[in-house]
Amino acid sequence: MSVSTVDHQPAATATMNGRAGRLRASAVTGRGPLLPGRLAVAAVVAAIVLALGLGGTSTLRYSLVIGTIFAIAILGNNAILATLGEINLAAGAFMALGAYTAAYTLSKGWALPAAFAAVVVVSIVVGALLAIPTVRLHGLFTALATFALAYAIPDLTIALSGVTGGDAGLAVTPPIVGDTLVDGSSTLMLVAVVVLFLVLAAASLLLFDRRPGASLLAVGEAPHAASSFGLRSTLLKISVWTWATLLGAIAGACYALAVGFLNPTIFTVFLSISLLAGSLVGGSRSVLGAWIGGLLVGALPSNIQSIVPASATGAVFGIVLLLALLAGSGGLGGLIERQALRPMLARRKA
Amino acid sequence: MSSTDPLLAGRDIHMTFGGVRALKGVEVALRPGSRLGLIGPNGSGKTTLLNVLSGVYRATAGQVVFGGRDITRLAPGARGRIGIVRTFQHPQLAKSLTVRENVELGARLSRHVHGRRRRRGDDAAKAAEALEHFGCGAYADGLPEEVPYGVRKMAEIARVAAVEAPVVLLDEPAAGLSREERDELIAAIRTLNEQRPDTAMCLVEHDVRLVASLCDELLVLATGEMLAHGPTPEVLRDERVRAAYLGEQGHETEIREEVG
Repeated sequence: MSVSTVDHQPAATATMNGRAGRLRASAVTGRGPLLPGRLAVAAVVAAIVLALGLGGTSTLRYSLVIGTIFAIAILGNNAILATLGEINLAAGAFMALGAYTAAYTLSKGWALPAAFAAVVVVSIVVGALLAIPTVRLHGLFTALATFALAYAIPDLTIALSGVTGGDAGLAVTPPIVGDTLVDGSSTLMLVAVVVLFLVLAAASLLLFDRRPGASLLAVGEAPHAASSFGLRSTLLKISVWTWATLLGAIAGACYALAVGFLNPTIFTVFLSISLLAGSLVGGSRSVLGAWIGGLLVGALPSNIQSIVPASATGAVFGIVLLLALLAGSGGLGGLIERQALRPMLARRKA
Repeated sequence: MSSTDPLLAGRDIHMTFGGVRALKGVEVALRPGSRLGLIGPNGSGKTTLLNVLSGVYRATAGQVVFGGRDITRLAPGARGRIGIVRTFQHPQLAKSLTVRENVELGARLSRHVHGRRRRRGDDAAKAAEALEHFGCGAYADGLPEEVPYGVRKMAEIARVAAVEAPVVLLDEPAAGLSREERDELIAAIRTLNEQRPDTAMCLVEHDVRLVASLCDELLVLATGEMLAHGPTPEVLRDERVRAAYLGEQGHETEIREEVG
């Protein structure tokens, strides 16, 4: 039925459609036909992390656990950054919500599954309530509002001392599975957080690849068109912020179990900024990048202390982050993906 | 509602931005099958009127009515869902969605507008059909930033066409297109109009040749006021219109050619 008579740019067209074009677009957008490959890469990295953690020292295992937990929080950050393009500086606050909910419910004798169910319910409710005013903001104002939340968390923790233990902190009752106490350096904890990361990463990839992702990208990148074409922009934005809160809270609950003790100095604004740095360095559209970012900000600072003097760890960590930024806007995850695809695309072009 | 009743109407529309009165008592009516061209010099209020009709702006005073229902306070999304769709002066395509996925937004809206139970695969088929119709099929898997500007403009119109909406508002669809692309656009819109004769179309455009080719009725705005309104040939011969908007020598020549 085409009435087209104009060939806009035939040379470009040759590589735009077809498998090569779709692969190239997929590498740029983080969606599309590379989805199975991305899932496979996440599984391979999971196997590597498990092999390193199960075969390594308890210190290394603990670092990998914390890094993977941070990666889960980064997945939440990425959901917002990749679709709406908004900066979330409250990821640490979301973690605090999950951590204290888990710690409080466990301290009241709740079973671990019930405590996690409470984390899910509380984070969805609180996340949605926080999102309602937040989604009315854009750009720097979103960053400022989330910064304010993150900034207030230590004081809020003290103010709610009946639940959080205030300055004195709150000990987390560690679960016992079989005869084993599950803490941050236990193999069971490593397996649990790695499996949890894989499941949440797969869910994130699928949501981003399918209709919810397409709708959110339209809302974030073409807001007037999204609105005119009937997308419920506000509801979609609230949904993605709630999803990010949920992932942050799950990460927080795992963190509470891993470290065994919570106090107001943990969930500071610095943690939120570190998680944002992890998002940017790893690449907001890559689950591999989320893991890299989580390990960088969660595991690297404590581990470089064994290599460089303690007084220089901050500088070394900063330099590592700066070097990672050379990977470009797609982050290290995007860079690795593009490099892996290069031979395939070159072959198809030829 | 009889076939002569307006499907979409703006009644005594006023729009003020700070101290600037962008629209002053404008009346517009789109009946099923209307092909209305909205012309006027830069800053005359054409796009503002389109924004008021599509819900991007809420009129300072006046009423917007769709199918007899007052929709003045209805948000743009809700207007989209009842079948008022539009394009934008600058293409509004999500850069991380392929051209095909952008057009599928229109196909998805089509299900809301018509209340049809369609499978999702049908959205893809409808989007593909619209893409082919507007000559973008070869670029369907490309990202908007990779394709020529003309393709982006056409893809926006394809997205609107995929809705099969009762009201279509086109904001300068030919801006930035080459002469050949404009001819292609005219042919594609004509074919669509033939296929869906009941669709009401409002077209904002500076290209008089294009407007004269596609519209049987013109509304001319000047500094936010209605200068002339009527059948296209009459309006184009109107001395006031020539003086206010089309008075330049080049335009006069063009109009004589169009009007014959």
